[in-house]
This record gives sequence, structure tokens and C-alpha cells, in this order.
Amino acid sequence: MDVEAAKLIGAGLCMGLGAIGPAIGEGMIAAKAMEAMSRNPEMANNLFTRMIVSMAITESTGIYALLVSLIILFV
Amino acid sequence: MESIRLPADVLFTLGPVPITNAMLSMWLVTLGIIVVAILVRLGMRVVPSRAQIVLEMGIGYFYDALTDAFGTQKRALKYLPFIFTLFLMLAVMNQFSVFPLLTSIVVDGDVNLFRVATSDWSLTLTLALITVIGSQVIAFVAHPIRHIGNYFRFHLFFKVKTPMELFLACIEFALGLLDIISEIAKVISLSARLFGNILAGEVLMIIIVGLTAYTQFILPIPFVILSIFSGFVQAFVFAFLSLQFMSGVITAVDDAPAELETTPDGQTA
Repeated sequence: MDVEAAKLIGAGLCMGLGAIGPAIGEGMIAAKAMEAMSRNPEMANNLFTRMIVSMAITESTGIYALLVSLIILFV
Repeated sequence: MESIRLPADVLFTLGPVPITNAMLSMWLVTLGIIVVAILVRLGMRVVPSRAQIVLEMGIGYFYDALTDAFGTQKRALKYLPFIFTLFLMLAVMNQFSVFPLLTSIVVDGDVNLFRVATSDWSLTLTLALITVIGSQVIAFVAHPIRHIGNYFRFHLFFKVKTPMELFLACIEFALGLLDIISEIAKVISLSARLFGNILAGEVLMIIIVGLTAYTQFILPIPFVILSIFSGFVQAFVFAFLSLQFMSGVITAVDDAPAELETTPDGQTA
């Protein structure tokens, strides 16, 4: 296989597979946060900021995948 | 299609220092923030203006968060300027592409005069290094022996009485060494998160606009809104995570639990 073609396939696979984990994780965080907010509405503001921060941490593996595929494509 | 470049383009060199377009736009934003800050400070009244209300709200929010993380209000007040400056700077910088016309100025054929500085890894890596190394230095200056003892936990071996405790002390010691690696990983994850998010927004926009002639007009609007939202969220997350990292390292030495009070030579401090 051509090196260029292999690079493109690698970048696509990297991003596609790397997006699975963060998606599942963020979905679980959102689901649990919604559950907690509906049980305890006066804590909603406090929970929302925590939810955003933990989502950003969960997202980091997806961002790593994005970085790797960008490096494969452009460097 | 507009080309996507990872490193920032060098506009000119000032002696040995190359000046890139990311640096230029960062200076512009810094100047803007300083001017706004001076204007708000000069117009500060007991009955606040609108800008004053917004800024006071932000400062109050971060002050509360810092007080939670650091324990005391005195320490929170000490680190508030750094954390809030990080947030302000990144929040304005991430919205840079929304300012009309600025990012469209082109010099030398295909080099943009301004670029969203957070989509250049140099800026985010510098901020992450300042945060992590700064907190290490502050903790080291405050309590040098106790700070090193948090990573090289030799003091645990002086308290061993049974073989089982020796085993647990070995595990604790290995965990302490792993903390050093996690400090390095903090730099990478903190910087890559901001950089990756903002760059992904930029790349998405370029791809959608460059797809066909028809997708240049109405279709990008939802993605612009998404990138504005994620820009704010990422600025907030960066400030909040650096707050957490700093407070974790600094409060670990400042109010250490009783078992960490022993110095490495086994004497109780």
C-alpha cells in the first residue's frame, strides 16, 4: 500500500476509534448528572459546573486521538 | 480550501526572536483586556455599571471556587489574580475568530496577520508549564523537605514494624514516584485539551466552508455557535483545572496531615 494512503486510513481510524470512549463516558456523565439534578434541583448549578469539568477531563482521550491524527496528517 | 497549519506562521523576526501571527493576536487581546480593565477601574462606583457587574460576578465566582479549593480566604486571595487572568485571557482569545475581519487580513500572499492564539500549541503549553512548574516552586519554597517527601516517601520506611507494613510502604513509595509522572502528564493533558478543542473548531469551520460553494453561507452558523460555546467552556475548564492542580500541590504541603509531619530522617517535625 502507498504510504500516503496508509496515513489517511490511519488518521481516519485513529479519530473514529478514539471518539468511541469519550462519547460513552460523556454520555454516562450527562445521564448521571441529569439524574442527580432532577433528584436535588437546588444543587443544579453546583452540579452543572462539576459536570462540565468532568466532561472536559473525559474528553481528553478524544483530544489525544485528534492530536495524533492531526500529527499523522500534517507533520 | 484554506490550508490548515499546525505551527504558527512567522511574520518577521525581532533580533533572534521570531514574531508569529499567534503572538501578535495575543498581544492585541492582552492590550484590549488591559484597556477594558483600566476603564472599568476608573469608572468604579458603589452603584456599579454593567461592565463592573459582569466582572465582579466573575471575580466573585472564582473567589468562591478558590476558597473552596484552598481552604482559607487569605490563600484564595493570593492566587485569585493568576487564575482569573488565565480565564479572562483564554475566554477572549477563544472568541477571537468571531471578531469581524481581523482573521481575514492576509499578508505575503497566504499568511494571516492574526490567528487564534490558542490554536497554536506554544501558547497553551506555556500556560500549562507556568501553572505546573509555578505550583511546584511555590510548594518547594514554602516547605522544601515536606514537598520532596510527598514524592519520595522515604519516611514511610522508618515506621515499618511488620512485613505487611513493609509491603504497604513499598507500594506507597511506588505511588509517590508515579505522582512525578502524573505531574508531567498534567502539562500535556492541560495544554493538549485547550489546543485540540480550539484547533478542532477551526478545522471544522475550514472544512465546512471549503466543502462546496453553497455551504459557505448559512450552514456554518450552528458550528460557529458551537465553537463559541466550547471556547467559553474550555477557558473555564482550563482555569478551573489549573486551580485544582495548584491547590492540590500547595495545600498538600501547607496543611499536611499528622502522618506526613515526620521528616525523612525519622524525627517528628
